[in-house]
Amino acid sequence: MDLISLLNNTANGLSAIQAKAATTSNNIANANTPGYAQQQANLAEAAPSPLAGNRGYVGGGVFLLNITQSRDQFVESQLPTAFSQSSSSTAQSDALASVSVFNNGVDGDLSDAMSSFYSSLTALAQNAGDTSLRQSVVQSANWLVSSFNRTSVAVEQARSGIDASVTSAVETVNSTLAQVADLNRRISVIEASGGQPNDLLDQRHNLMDQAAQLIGATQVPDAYGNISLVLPGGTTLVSSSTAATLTVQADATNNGHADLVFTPADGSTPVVLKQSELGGQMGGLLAARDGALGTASTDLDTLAFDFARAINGQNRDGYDLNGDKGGDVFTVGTTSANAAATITVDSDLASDPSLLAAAGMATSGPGDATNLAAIVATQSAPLSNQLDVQKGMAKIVSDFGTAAADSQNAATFNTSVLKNLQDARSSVSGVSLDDEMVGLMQAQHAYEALAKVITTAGAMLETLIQLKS
Amino acid sequence: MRVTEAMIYQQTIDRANAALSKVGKAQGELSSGLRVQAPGDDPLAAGLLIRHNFDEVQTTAIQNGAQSAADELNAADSALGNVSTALAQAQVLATQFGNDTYTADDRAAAANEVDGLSKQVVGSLNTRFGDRYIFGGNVDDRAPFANDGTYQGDTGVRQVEVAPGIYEDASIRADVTVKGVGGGVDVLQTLTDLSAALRANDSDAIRASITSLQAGTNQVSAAQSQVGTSVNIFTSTVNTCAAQITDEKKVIGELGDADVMDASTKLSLAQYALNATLTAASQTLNFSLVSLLDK
Repeated sequence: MDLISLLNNTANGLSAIQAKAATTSNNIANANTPGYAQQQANLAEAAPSPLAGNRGYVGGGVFLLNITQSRDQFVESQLPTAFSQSSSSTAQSDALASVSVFNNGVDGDLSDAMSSFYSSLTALAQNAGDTSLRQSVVQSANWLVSSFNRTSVAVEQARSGIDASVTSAVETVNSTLAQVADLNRRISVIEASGGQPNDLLDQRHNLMDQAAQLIGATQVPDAYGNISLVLPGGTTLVSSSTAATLTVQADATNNGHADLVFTPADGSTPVVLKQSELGGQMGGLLAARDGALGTASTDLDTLAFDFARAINGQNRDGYDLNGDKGGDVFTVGTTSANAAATITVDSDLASDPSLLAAAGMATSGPGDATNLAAIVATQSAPLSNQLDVQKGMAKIVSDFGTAAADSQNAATFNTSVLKNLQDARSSVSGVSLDDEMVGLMQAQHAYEALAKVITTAGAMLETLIQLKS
Repeated sequence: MRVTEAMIYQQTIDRANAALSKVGKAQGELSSGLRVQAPGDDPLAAGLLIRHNFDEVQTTAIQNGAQSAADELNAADSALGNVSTALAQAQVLATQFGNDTYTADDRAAAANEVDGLSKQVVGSLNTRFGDRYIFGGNVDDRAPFANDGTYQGDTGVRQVEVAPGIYEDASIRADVTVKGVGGGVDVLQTLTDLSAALRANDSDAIRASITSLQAGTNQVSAAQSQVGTSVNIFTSTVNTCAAQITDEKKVIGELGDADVMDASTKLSLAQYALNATLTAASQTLNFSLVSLLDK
């Protein structure tokens, strides 16, 4: 090897070390950039040069082989599901925790109103002809229907709030899917030409994390560097460079709440996505809306409907203070749909409490409370769900509480799993400033040493030149 | 495991948030006095709280009804006591003026006294409790007995709940007790008959009335006995309800109320954990090669 080759090798080494320092600089700069994976400048030994006379080989220095990302595929393969489950259970838990209408200690809640209504009937049974006690029953009935209305509206408002969250998230989802599709296209082009689009890969990872969090999309790579995004139910959202779109539409069969509609990338017939096909934040929100909250809403309606029918039916069996056959106490529709929101006290009874049919016979005196006792007894009679009024109310609250507690436990567990995986990812792909500082010092020293080689080689050349002159 | 700065920062945030969340929960428990604030805190307890609260209100309603029934029956017992006293006085008069030594004028004066007793009996039987007549059965909005002794009530017997779905009689049938419906003695008619016998100066008829008066007295005493039994039942119900209400309150407290000592301990632990997290973070975050190289 001659001195010129020595200088060339050293120059190549300086270039490689510069690249290493530049990569370290890039790592430090992106230490807090979401989705960024630590990059490594991989150096390789250059091919050696043979010495004249077959006396062996002299090393050819170093060159920059490539710059790669540090990613652990085992960890990365688990993260989409972890993101999806954590976001889903957290969204569900947060949505249920925000509903306070079933909280303990809320004065004037449905339970208070119901017990007060029956208590007023019991008091009236002492003196069935007493006008003020009859008026008290009507007031309790008004309070009760108001509690049914308020509770139902609060539950429905929570469900409508979820609609608004889903609707606003749809735009973000569509934008995310479109960006992933575009990045698929750009990455495959660069990789086909032998490039290493680390920045684009980071962006796509970050977007895929978002897609997993938002809607539970999991990743399916293909042989060309593309990644498809697929919903837990199997629906493909992104395939190669094309992305489907999501929209919302009102579902008339579900109180007008928002359905999520999937329109395939090829524009074929849109289909409504079921909640069970979704994951992530949207899946969790819809699970809360149509699960615990939907059940509570339906159960409230059923309770209001059954209760009203039981009271009305018994009241019709009796006779009012005028000796006339009793009528309805409460007004509800012909089915349980929206019964809790629409139940009212019968307008005739509201204005004339004497219409309450306490008596068992038309000819009885005003003190006859025979039928009133039967009305009071409805509190212990099984309704359509085989539970009495009291147990029915307890079940609604208990079921809601169980769903809230389950989702909170799931959120705690899933978030813990996610954090462990994120730590594992960060351990491999994260930037350690200490590592980078050591790497930087290493590069600096290498650079200084190589510079010394150049100085030495230059001095050697100078010596040779002076010999010839 | 390789640890990066981002991991330390994130863990600091997560642990501080977790500790803060526990502080908030313990603080909420202490300030509200409730262990179960949302159903999710303890779903089973939340459901049971509804049932026990409902039971407490219903038991209170039954207790109030039983107390009212006991008070009303005591009023009935007092009225029947007056009737019994009047009958005893009439019996004394019948015994006294059944003796042949009395003149027609003496017996006419005694007849006036018996008429007064009749009015007294009618007055007692027209007793009201609150705004209700208590001896008219279900016809409680007008006096059950007219001045001439005619019964204007019906055969209804008021029933009051002593336990959910279980009822006890809370009134007596005045038509049976006073008017003798069903084979008894018409107490008012007996007094009327005695008065007529006295005015007619008919010593045999006067003496004959003693038997009817005794039968009437026995009839009223039997009713008083029945009333006493009912009063005992309703008084017992009131006491039972009071014990049940105390039990319900205790269960409600155990299920839903915060244990102040426990909540305070939780709060202290949560505050300690938060303090430890922040102290550890402040130490860890300062420890970096970059900061050492700067020195």
